Amino acid sequence: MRIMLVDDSKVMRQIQRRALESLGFRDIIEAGDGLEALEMAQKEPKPDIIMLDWNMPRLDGYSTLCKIRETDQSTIILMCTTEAEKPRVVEAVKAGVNNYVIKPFTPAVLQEKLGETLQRAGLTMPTV
Amino acid sequence: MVTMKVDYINAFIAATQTAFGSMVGTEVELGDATLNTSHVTPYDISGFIGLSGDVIGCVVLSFPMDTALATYEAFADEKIDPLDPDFFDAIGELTNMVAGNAKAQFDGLNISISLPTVIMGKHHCVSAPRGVPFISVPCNCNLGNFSVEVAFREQV
Repeated sequence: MRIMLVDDSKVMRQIQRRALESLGFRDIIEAGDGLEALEMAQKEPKPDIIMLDWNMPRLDGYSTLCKIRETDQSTIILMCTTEAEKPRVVEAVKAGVNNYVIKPFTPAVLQEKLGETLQRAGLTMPTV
Repeated sequence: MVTMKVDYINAFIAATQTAFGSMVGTEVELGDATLNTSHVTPYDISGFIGLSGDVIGCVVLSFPMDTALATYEAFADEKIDPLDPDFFDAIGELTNMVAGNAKAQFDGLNISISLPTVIMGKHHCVSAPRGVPFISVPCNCNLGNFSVEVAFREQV
């Protein structure tokens, strides 16, 4: 299962990568903003899961989500952001996000959110 | 007379404690808040986020260098040189988490936050928007002391 981390903070990508690796994910790619993510999402093999920050330079996570959903309804997308207000969450859900992780988060929260998202999609977490 | 609702400052304090608890693995103890109606002269490195929309203001996390380096090490699980861009990145991201989580507590206010800016240098000053006071909250944790500075006013 290929997972793409999209965050303008390299340190946050590093922290998320470590958490995902501890959950058994091995195929992890990274993008530093929405534009880079859109480019990478077109290349094969395409990511199965995208974790999107909201506030990023060049192209924010919400706009990236909308762009992806114009042509792709199947890739699992989680917003992973400090944008925690209800209107923002609703906006993202309406645009087609599969789940929402609010920063700061613990590895246990990330595991829970990923687990429930994959379960809803009929998938299972990788084995460690 | 310059005033600021206690709920406002409490939201930023709670967000700081949550961010440090979740991402750095440490509890933050608070000292007494003080009002500063001019600029603040914080520690060696500061993360800065501007607030706009229905409010005007900013939030600043300011650290002595030793605390900042220890915070980075706990946050990213590695040591770092203070001139490494990742060091600035981490301080900015922590500030971003505090601002983002605090603004979620303000029901009914439409608030936008800027991308984080990080300033390093001894005796640097941070100025709040004119007429908006800073509330300074001294903080202490097992990594050292630091401060949270909040300037916040609803737009009329």
